[in-house]
Amino acid sequence: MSESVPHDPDDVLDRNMRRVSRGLSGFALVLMLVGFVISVTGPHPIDVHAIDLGARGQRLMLDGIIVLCLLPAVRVLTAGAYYAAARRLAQAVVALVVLLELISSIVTGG
Amino acid sequence: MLLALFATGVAAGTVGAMLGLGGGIFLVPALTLAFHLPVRIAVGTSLVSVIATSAGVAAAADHESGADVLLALRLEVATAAGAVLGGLVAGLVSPNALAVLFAAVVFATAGYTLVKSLGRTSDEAMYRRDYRPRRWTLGSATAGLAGMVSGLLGVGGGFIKVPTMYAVMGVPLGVATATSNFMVGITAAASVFVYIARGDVLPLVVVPTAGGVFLGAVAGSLLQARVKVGALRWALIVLLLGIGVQMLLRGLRGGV
Repeated sequence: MSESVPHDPDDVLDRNMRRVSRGLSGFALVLMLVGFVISVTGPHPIDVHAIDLGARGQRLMLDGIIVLCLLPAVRVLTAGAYYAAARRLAQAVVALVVLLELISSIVTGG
Repeated sequence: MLLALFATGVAAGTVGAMLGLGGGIFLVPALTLAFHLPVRIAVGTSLVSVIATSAGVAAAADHESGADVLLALRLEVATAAGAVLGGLVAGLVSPNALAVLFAAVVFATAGYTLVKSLGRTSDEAMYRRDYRPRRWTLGSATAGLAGMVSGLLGVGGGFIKVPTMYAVMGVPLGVATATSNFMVGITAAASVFVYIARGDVLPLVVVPTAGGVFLGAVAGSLLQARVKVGALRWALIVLLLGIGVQMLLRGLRGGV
């Protein structure tokens, strides 16, 4: 791989990546924050509903964590889709290889 | 405790974003030593936090300071290939010998970065878009070696990818750190779901830490634009020397 490659001269890929990163991480942070607030400032534990609410808060936090952890895969997917749409097939294949490697690591446990 | 976790996250995220390391290298010792968390919980928290750093850097980036996506993907393929090779030779090579070998590579990288920095001007730009990465073979080989040892020795390879991209491949330092943060996010995502499935990701520990890391990463990205390239370069060299010494001692003492 000795050839040189321009760094996204038209900024379309960078713009898409920024949009995906801000949207997904913002959504994840909101989920985590809401879950955290519910867990920490929920009703007194003596209240039977507090157990439900506490569990719901934990669940929301975990959902936020999972959304955040999916971000790298979504970013690779975004890059692959951009390269495929721009008919930069060699680069789309590189993105696909990374995505498959990531998915196989997740499925097989690293 | 929650505020302390948040503050630790902010500090790790700021430094991790500025140096392109993700922050895990600081978080695991802090969580185990200062907060007395079990190593598995600390690693699970650290993996989510590395992804939070990656997300924070990406969210704060603009056209100039964004990661070089194609460079990251290509080096990531080399890193994965190195990890597979590492798995194949795991039974053939002593981990202690590998630790010594990796320490030698870390020292060589620090020395190379130092030598290359002598010829650079003081007004070197942190970000540029008109560069073209060069010496792909050497860069890919170093990324592959980082992948190989990361599986065998349990260390992340982010600290060696930044100087490789910067000093060997000619990538501007700010772009190299953003690219490295993108890469360490991918690497962390590959293993974090195992920790989530095992119950080693505790939401009440992770959320304040990762939230702090995210904010720290955004702050670190903005701060990086105000720092001189020379200062960041010296911080990297000192860090590399520290990691090299630690790795060498682990290898020589047989503690791997």
